[in-house]
Amino acid sequence: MSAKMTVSRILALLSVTLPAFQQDRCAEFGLKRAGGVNGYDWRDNRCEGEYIRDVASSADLQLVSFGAPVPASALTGASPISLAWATAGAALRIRGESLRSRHYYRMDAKPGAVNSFQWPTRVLSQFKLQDRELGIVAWTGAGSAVRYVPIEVNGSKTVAILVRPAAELSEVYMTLRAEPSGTVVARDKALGLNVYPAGRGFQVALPKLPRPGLYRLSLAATLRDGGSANGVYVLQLPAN
Amino acid sequence: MDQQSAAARLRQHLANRAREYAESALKQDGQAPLADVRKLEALSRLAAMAEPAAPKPSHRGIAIVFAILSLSVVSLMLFKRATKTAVELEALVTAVRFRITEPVQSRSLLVKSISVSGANISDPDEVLGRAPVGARIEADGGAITVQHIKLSNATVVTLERDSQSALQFDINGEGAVIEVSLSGKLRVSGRPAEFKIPRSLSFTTGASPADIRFVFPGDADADLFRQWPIDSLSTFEADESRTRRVSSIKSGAIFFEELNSQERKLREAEHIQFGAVDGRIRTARFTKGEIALRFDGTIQGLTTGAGDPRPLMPTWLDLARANQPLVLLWTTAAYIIGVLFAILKWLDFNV
Repeated sequence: MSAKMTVSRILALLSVTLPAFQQDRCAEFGLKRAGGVNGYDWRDNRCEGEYIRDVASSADLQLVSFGAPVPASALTGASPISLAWATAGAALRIRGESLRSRHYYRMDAKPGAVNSFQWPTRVLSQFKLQDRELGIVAWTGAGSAVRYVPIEVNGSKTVAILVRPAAELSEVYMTLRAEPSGTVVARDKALGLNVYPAGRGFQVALPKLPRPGLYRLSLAATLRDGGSANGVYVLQLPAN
Repeated sequence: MDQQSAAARLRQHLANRAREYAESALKQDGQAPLADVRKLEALSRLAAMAEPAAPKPSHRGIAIVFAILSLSVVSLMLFKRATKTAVELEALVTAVRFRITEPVQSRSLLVKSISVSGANISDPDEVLGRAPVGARIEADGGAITVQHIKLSNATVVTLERDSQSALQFDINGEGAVIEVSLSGKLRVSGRPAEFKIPRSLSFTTGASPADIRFVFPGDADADLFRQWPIDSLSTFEADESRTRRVSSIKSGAIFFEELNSQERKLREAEHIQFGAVDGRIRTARFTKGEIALRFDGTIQGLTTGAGDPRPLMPTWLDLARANQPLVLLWTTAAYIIGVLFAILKWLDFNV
């Protein structure tokens, strides 16, 4: 068999197996690959793109951003977004998500044992997202052992917390405890934002922390149409 | 004396005479009397006429082979059934059991009461008191919100109507999480409690099955979940004596996609049994004491009847009729012509 034939056979085999391999790489993030140029799919070092809306519960409070806000100027496609975090951990996961209403875009990455990640914005720039329309969270662990890590964006170390409710809320109450001691920093403090529309992120302003470290943030919300919702997040918080 | 022996004797007689006349002609210097030669010619014609006619070649063998082949093809088309077919099921049932093939999450549910047993409880706010073994919470002006039920791959779920407004939601599979949010005036394990700030409870299943009972307010119409992928489906429940399986079907229909969505109505209590399935429960609602299911996917086997199950999978003929009508038309025409041809041959008609 000639070398040319061998190479062509290997290429043919790769063309069959590579899409399946890529599909598996995105499946671990819980979304199926979508069609189209900007569809959710494997791209270089991440899974990224628009997806068909998952059928979600209507009473969840989702932490969608923890770290520095992303300005619209960073989403032009000219240069990648530079993400960084304080501790290098092999199991860290990063998720970027569109916070625009009814826009289903997500980026998932597992950067490995490093403490930075370059996020090319070629796909992201197509959607022309505005200031604060992109949320980024990073975490380690799974299930009840999830620990959220603040993300620095293009060198900014500001820490903002955005939570998105699936249904409209009437009020949200915050309780913050130090971990693992359980020392209460704030208890049942109403956020008092008055308006909490469904599908739009609201900011959770933290009280002054006694020291940087691990904290358990519990949110309790009453739903505008009756019922309630709770969310608990364990956060690695810097001094504020 | 039959025709064959008469002909043989004539041939023998002709040979003897010919030898006699030949010898006589040799003695007379080769001169044969003309009368003898004519006699021989007449005798030869007579012998030829006496020969029995050669049997005509028979076509009956071909006809038999053709008939056997035809019957085999017709039998296959009539009795051989598809091993797999795409269906859509719409049914109202009082119980259903299925197995999940991917991690899934329910819709949120606003319930009047919830009871959970057989699951590990996470109660950070000590809503249930210390070391609870189960939970029973009833709304008493307040609200109980089941934020979601998260199930992992290979979990078996049984939904069963308990009353007009109560649904049993049993989970057999590790790692399922039920998140509940409580607010306002409630009764927790029989004791009054009030949560001005909503409090959360979560339940996680272990190796043993967990039983959850929801009571919905008023005439319930609860959207339980959507698009759950499953690989098994059963519409049976235990009868009142708990000793026999009975069908839980109240009404419904199965649509066979490959038969141009042909509908097969389901009767109340019809004993429908599904083989392996590969599809999704598109929607599941608990409405007026019944579970309304919409499933679509492929099934490998479908029978009706309890004692002597009768297959409902489409036959090859059904599939051919629905999908290849032109091919079926020409095949049938060729078959009928072939049968007529074989019958005529059988009857020795010249065709």
